[in-house]
Amino acid sequence: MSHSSKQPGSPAPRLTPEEHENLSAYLDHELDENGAEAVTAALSRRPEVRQEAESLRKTWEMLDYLPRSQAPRSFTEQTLTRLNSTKGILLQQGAKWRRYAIAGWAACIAVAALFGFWLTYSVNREPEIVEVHAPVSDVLPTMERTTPDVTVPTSTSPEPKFPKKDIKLFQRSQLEVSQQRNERLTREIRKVLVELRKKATFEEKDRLVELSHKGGLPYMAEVINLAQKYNIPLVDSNPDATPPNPGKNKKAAAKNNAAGE
Amino acid sequence: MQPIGKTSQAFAVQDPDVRLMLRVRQEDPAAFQELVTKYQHRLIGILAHLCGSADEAEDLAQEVFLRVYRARAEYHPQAKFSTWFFTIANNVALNSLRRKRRKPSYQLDPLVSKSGTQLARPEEALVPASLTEPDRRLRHQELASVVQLALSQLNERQRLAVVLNKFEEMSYDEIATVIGVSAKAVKSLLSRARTQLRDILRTYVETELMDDSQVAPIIMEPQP
Repeated sequence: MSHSSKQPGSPAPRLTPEEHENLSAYLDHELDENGAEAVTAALSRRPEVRQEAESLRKTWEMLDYLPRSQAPRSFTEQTLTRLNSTKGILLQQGAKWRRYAIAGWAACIAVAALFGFWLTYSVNREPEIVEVHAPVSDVLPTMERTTPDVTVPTSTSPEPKFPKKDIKLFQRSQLEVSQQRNERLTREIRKVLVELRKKATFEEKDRLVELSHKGGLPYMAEVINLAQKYNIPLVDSNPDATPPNPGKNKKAAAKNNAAGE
Repeated sequence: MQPIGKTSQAFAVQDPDVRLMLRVRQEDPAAFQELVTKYQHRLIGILAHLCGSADEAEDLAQEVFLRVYRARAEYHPQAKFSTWFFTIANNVALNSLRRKRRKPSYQLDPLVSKSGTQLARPEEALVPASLTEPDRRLRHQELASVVQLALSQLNERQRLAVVLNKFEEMSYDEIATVIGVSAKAVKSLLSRARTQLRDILRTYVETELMDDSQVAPIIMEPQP
């Protein structure tokens, strides 16, 4: 503890914060040997340190006047009761959570049962044949091959040259013919499908529905197979031919016969 | 039953309260009851100084014991039992003080608890013998109120450090563990608290010093 020189007539020099801390620790027996020796020396040499130490000691003693609270006699019992009730609450909370868990499981089982029922119903219900709304050319790509390919003659081609205007007209007419044929085929297939709805068995319909999702040749092949099986008239072999008219044909035959005669 | 490490064993050998708490950890209900009985007065005394209300101190003390019970499974002795115990008490008290700051309330008579327990008084020997009995009581009561007021002027950390040092005779290291600061900080904390208390109680301290017929020697033997 550093020594402060005292001038005659001047107020007593104050202790530095470090000296204060050391003095306080000295009173609490918390200083090591060297620190305690330094404070002891300061106490013997400096009256202001002695005075400060005395006032601090007395202040500390005055804390003995503080009222000391005592636990009531029933404190231990009350604490144990509170502990047990807390345990009870915890157990009740556990029971409550168990109830919630059971209810949750029941709800899960009910949902699973409903889903199973719905699944069973949807699988066993009668399949409905759906029409393929895509053009028949998509469904039956091979049919498009009936349309003659038109190649634009190049300049190197040995074939005779045609005017471009004529080529475009020819292409357009071919396209129109192809579209008309496709539309007619679509109509015919719709008719076949309407008949199949009435006549085909459950398994056949199911298979047809399955194939309709895939489209293409297998679907058409199945339609044709079923149509043949149930004697449903298919499209005429000559798609460009006009629908047959028996009456008109008879008249034409009679006319031809008369002309021959 | 959990195994006890070497450190725990060492503390268990030194500190009988550690052994008691280890019994609580092993689900011994009698041990917990013994612990409550042993620590109830000390705990309520400390808490009453911290929160300034006997009723609140009782409630908080129950809360502290419940927390001790709940924490029994995780108890691994690393220090004296009282250090661990008062760390929990400090946390509970600080939480309560924070709540009180949000919802301030007033106490009519802090010296009498709702359970009717009259708070014990300091040692009669501290009051000068020359005074008559009614004068002594009056003087005593006045000093008690003044010192209580002075203590309440300290901040929470200073107050706890003073109370633990004065009434629990805890070392700086132990107080540091309870409060969660360094021992050096505790040294500074207690020095400032002493000075502040002395400044508040200056009039009474000087009177007391004058009343002392013989000043006790200040110089003490250094501690080993």
